[in-house]
Amino acid sequence: MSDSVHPSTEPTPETPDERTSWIDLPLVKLVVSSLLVTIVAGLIQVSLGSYSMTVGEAWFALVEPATGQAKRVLAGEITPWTAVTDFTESLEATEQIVVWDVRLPRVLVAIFVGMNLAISGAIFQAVTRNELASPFILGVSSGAGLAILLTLVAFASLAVYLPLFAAVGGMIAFLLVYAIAWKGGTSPVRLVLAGVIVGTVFSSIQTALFLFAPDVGVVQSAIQWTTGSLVGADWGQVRLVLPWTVLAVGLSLVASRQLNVLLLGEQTASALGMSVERVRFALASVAVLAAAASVAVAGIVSFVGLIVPHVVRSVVGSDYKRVIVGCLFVGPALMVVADVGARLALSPTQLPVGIITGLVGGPYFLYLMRKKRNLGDI
Amino acid sequence: MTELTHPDRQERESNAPDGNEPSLEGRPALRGENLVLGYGDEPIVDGESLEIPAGEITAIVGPNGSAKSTLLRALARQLEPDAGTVVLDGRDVTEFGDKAFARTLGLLSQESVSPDSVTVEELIYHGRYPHRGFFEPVGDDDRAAVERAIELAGVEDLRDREVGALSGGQRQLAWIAMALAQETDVLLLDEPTTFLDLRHQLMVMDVVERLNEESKTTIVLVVHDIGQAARHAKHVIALQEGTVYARGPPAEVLTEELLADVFGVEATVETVDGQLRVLADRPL
Repeated sequence: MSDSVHPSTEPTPETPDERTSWIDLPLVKLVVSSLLVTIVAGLIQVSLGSYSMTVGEAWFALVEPATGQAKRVLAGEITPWTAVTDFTESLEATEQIVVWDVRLPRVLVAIFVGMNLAISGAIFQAVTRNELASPFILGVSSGAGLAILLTLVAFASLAVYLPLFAAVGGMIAFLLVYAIAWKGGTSPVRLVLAGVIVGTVFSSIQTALFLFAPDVGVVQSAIQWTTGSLVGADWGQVRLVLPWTVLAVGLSLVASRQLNVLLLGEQTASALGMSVERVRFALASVAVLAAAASVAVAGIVSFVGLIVPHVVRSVVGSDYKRVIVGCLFVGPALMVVADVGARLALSPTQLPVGIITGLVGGPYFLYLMRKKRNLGDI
Repeated sequence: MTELTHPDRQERESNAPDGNEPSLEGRPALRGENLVLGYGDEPIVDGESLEIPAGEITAIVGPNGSAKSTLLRALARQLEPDAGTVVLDGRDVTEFGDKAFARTLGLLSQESVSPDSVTVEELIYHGRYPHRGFFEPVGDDDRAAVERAIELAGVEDLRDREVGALSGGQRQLAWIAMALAQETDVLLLDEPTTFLDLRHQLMVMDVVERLNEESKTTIVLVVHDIGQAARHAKHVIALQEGTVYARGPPAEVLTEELLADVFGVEATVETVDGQLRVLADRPL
């Protein structure tokens, strides 16, 4: 703005830098405490199990191979690249192998799944302006799960592209839900009902598919998919989910301002010059991608996408920059803790983690229903 | 007080043949031509034309169901006409890009919703949406526009309050400030004073008048209160069941006959100290 600016209206000098001013104390506290929970739960997860060690031993087994490789890189013995690719061969003690090859990847997958589900839920809640929305409730998870089962049964060789197939399935489910709920606009309750309908139909088809499975082993692993499980998560799964997570997280951080404007309602957003339908579709695609990436590695984990954004919002308010950042930390904390419970509660029997999140999430949903007067609208 | 203008407008004024103010006045900023509007089969407005004079306050009045809001939505490009065109500054509105349109014409809807925990200042910054690129951070011009909007709407003391904690009147002022930060040449307001207490009604109308005086913004108000239209508008459009019944200066339009014919009320219209006063006596 040029010389026409009124003297008294020049930007005040105390205006804090906009790039950091949105970071406030509640957000920092939330992030730090979530990080602590994730680290503690992660350490418990890598120490306990059929091969038990103390947390100290686990920490040592975790750190030593990494520092060892780092020293060799610094000494010029190996390149950083081979340090990573030969990492598994460098592991010596049993503890190291158990921690690095078996238990750590599972923690990492839980972290990525938690991030993806949380931001997916947060975006869906803004796009539908409905705090009951989540990939699970909108049927997206069932759609993605069905696509994955179909892929596994029919085109087992295409397993590398599972997240993409899952995304297509999730998108189809979301569009179906939207179309069913649409009647000159949608309402929170209509969306949830349509989501339940589509989700039920898709789960029925999933169950029907079991009948065509070649053997009982496939059925068992299929059941693990549909309840959500991290059993057997390894580095392959980390590699599968990582790129899509980076993409979805990056896009959702960039989109936070669009999400904030969408929260002002369709009319205001469009009066401000937003192409509401296009932005809504693009954002929903990001949310579907995030949900699909997590379904591809962990199956259908319920309620995380519903609870986490809600908890975050109640601490940091509705600004989506803060909500998304909060979700990136609270989601992993919840997932890692739930997975510790799933693996160790009835040890040696492992529960699917989806059962734990369901057991926690169901009551939370009820609590929301009882507590809020106007359930649904953000 | 320095004039609150922004560069676009200054440029346009100085390019005009005879200097500053008269160039905008008299030239229709916004025009609807043969508009056919509706939400289904039956059109609510069937082939109406209307002109909104530039740089003035125009009030659209009419009883419930007279298509005031429908017409306003069509002018704001929120409702696509079944036939006819809306022309803004000589261009068909469908030719504008979404953001370019939102930089020229603003609309404050009747029901505005926002998350409760948004602060007034954050809300007003959203008014800068059409001025900012996808990756563009807040710039000095955005800050200046927001400060001007806060000053003009008189919401300095509300700046850090959460919108959910405000009274209806304060909330409306915050929303108006957001629309002001949009810095448009034309601002459409759909019943901005309905549901407000008297004091806030006056405050809102005061902001509207100052905006019009200081930056020559063309303003269109849909109002229920005929008295407000008489007091604040220079141009009145009276609607009856989707047709323009009368248009012109308030003194010519707001007559006792019109109030009987269009609104179905027996009323007394008088001029007190140069001010038009409308007193509704009883329904007919």
